[in-house]
Amino acid sequence: MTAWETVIGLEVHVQLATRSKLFCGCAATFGADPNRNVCPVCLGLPGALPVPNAVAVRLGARAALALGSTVHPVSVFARKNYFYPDLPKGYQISQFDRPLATGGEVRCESPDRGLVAIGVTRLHLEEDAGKLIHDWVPGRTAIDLNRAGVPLAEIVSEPDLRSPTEARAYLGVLKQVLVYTGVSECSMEKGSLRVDANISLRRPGGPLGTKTELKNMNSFANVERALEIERERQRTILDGGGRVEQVTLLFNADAGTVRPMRGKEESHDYRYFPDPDLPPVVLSRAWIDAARAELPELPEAKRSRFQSAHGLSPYDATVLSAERPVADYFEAVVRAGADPKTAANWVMGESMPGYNEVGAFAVSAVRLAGLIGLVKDGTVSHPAAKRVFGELGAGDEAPHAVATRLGLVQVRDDAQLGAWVTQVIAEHPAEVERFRTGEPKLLAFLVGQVMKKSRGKADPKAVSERLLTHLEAS
Amino acid sequence: MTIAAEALAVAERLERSASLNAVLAWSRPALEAEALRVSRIGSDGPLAGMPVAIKDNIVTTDLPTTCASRILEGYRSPYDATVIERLRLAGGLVACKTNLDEFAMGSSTEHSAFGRVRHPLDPDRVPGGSSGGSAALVAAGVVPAALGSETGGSVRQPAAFCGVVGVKPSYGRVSRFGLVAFGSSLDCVSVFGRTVSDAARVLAAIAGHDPRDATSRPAPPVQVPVPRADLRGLTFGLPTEYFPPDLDPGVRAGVDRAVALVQALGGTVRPVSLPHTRYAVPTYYVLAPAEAAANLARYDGVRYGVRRGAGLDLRSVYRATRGQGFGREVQRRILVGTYVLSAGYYDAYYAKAQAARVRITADFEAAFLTGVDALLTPTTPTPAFRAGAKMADPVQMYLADIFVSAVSLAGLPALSLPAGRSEGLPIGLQIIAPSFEEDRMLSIAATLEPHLSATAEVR
Amino acid sequence: MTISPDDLVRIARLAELDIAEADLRRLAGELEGIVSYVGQLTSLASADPPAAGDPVGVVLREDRVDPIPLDRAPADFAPEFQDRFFLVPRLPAMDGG
Repeated sequence: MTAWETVIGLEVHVQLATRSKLFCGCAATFGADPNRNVCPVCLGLPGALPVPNAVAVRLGARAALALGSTVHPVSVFARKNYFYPDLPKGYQISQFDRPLATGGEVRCESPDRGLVAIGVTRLHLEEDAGKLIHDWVPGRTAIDLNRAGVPLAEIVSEPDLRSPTEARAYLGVLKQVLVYTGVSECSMEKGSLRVDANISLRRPGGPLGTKTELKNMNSFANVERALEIERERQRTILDGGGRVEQVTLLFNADAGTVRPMRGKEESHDYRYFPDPDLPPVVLSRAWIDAARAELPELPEAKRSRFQSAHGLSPYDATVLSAERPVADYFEAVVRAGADPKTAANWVMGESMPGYNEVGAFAVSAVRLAGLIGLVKDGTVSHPAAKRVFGELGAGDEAPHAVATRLGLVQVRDDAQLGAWVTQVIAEHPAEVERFRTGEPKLLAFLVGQVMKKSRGKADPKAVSERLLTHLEAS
Repeated sequence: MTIAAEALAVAERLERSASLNAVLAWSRPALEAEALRVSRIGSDGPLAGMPVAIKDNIVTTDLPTTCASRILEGYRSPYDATVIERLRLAGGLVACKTNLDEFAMGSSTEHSAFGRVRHPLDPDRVPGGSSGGSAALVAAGVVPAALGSETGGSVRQPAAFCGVVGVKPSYGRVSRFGLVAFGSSLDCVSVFGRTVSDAARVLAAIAGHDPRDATSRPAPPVQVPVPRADLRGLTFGLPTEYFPPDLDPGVRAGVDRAVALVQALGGTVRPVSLPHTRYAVPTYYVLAPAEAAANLARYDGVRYGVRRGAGLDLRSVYRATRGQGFGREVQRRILVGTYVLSAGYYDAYYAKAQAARVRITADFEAAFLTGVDALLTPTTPTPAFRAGAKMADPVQMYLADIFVSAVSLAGLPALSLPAGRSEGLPIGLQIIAPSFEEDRMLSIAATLEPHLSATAEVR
Repeated sequence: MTISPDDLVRIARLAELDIAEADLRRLAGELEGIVSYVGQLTSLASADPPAAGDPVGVVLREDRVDPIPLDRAPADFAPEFQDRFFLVPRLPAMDGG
């Protein structure tokens, strides 16, 4: 079998995190009653006019800057003309020959090629269409226009991806950046991130083959799967000497198949022209600089800083920088006085399971730092501190107060420790004898017995020192 | 007169003028309700109860808005246009909705789905268009002022035909929010008045920036003009391209008389050239249909309006709804607009027309830069023509707009002032001013108006 | 530039307009007349038009939830509306879903 090179490009639509729609004051929220968030503008009523949302433009520019794209001082909204019942005006307001931004790249880890830079062709703003529901009323298609006019950024990649796995990695990094910068929630379940993929095969170094477009993938895993299936399909055709047809294919996750899309009559003659209702979007140098200044530290930069400044391992730095709230939390714990490596262990081991479950941290960074301090100064043992952590989430009691209430503050009182040590030596003469005759591992057993007597409250380090003193003295 | 009495009086006049077919919707109860509302919100306003007729492509919640199209028959807008809200706040009374060429596409008001409008002076002639209903009502004395709309002369041309004042403001001066779009880069809500003052009062009431229209622009308010003692210190340009050899002799005589009057009042007159004028009508008939084709895509029978093709599939429903709902001229323009934007033709037509538009605009700017304060031209090449005379040949109909379309492409303010009559038919003098110089234009018109004896024969 | 009845059918399809068979030839002729009339623009020198200068930028809207109210609900003006949805004839199966 001859070798084929896979060529993949992705078109990603993300919903910009605005309160209102792109061209009207309707709420852009998900989940309202059908046709509740509608007005003359997004219903396309006679006489209604669009006015662009400042925050949508700002978020689009922010996304572009985060990807290293060039934000253009002048961009133009255009009308993309086609008829479909989810499109109220008979045209979609989008950007065509003068998009908001061009260029840029996404750096991601390829399993085959190591770190690769995937080019970004363009980023433009456009309005979403409504939602269609088939056979909700038998024989009819129902239309909900709540989503019509919701602001989207379309991010088009160069055909730089070479495998379905790379495509998935690209999406992971892209989503991370967009969530980090507050551009979008990027939830495929809520429809705030959608992916269309183009794929073709060619001889390595040869001209591009005919591409097909894949739609209807509802998760990153399914994007990868659909691309694998389509790659196999094209490979079989080409190996058999056939030709790939340029079609749009719908992925069926249940059946694990891709099938040509029917029904929507694709005119492919969208008759784009500048929307005469909307003067160009003109952004000054100062405006673009301000949008750039607003950018948070991006995950890649944060990851390397966590290694250089906090001395974290690459793995820990990656985990802690993956999500902005986690990274911010970790850094707050460090700022509150905790040693970075200890803080990293606590955040990853104790804080993150709860965060991953409910999306919030039960214990504030300052209280976690306080708890870490109690371990460090010997007030509580490490295992006791984990019990304290479990209790901290329930209220706003200080870590020390919780440890005291639970009786977990370590006993360092000399008289009490001395009494327990004397008793244990008296109760275990055989073990004491073996220790003295050259079995040092029995110290651990004796420490354990003292801890048991103290019901875990003794400081094991102090116990061990005291035992040694006693055993050597007598 | 109280606002309620005003409403009653206009109702009487509307009844008496029914034979013009100038009105598509009005009712006594609606007028009474309107009078009540205006008494509440605008009784102290500068329009003081002035009844104003509204072209039926401006949306109103109380009366239907049909654009004289079957596709919107019975449609009632769930919101009011910005100009309607402003009119009421100023004390203006929405009197009725007036007939027009369907979706404002036409120059004679014969392309209405609800029958043609008669010229008040000769029922066999057209009142001009597309705002023919509003022009006819003002000319017949039913209302002192009316709103129309211009895309390429649809107020100035019927104003000239009917012998009333027609004012097209600068593009961006008046909000388009609630004006049903035809050619969005050209559309302007415009005003008819029996006098310059009436028209200016209404314009002043509706003008001003509107955050709901991204193409509207902030500007100082329009002033109601005070006639000047004379026109000393003002220079008027006569664009040679607007005085072709085949200009109707009556029109020429009317404009010549007005120019002589300007000179008699101390104004300086000199010829200027606008060399790209001949491209104006073809440019207009590329750009306006292109925009219209997109603007009229929303009439698909899905969300509002009349749906046809019961029992058919969706595409057939679209085609039946639009094929039966739009009249011939609208369909022609949608097809032309679709054609000039379609793959392979964009550069030859749309891109060329955009380039021509820049040149046409630059011609005006250059003329004004030479120290010309305003331009004087005939508004139309002929007086009102006979009904049916141009229905067979669309291009002949388009040429009725030859002197008004360049101004629309350049977005300039212009007005048509009655300048006498030829064989009983009114002649219009067009005054064109630089962008946002409505005050200068209106004050020139107000100065000329008392001297022009609008009903005098000029030949 | 000639516009054939076939061209007209293609354009009419893009514009979603039903054109009666009997009207095709007449309408194609009218369109051709209009298109050849506006075709005189091609005689315009194709050199770049004078630069329009810095464009006036659009004034952006604040991101506030502040919809323009509807005096009447969609149910009152829609040709077919049921239980909060606009309805149209069932679209052909989209497959895959």
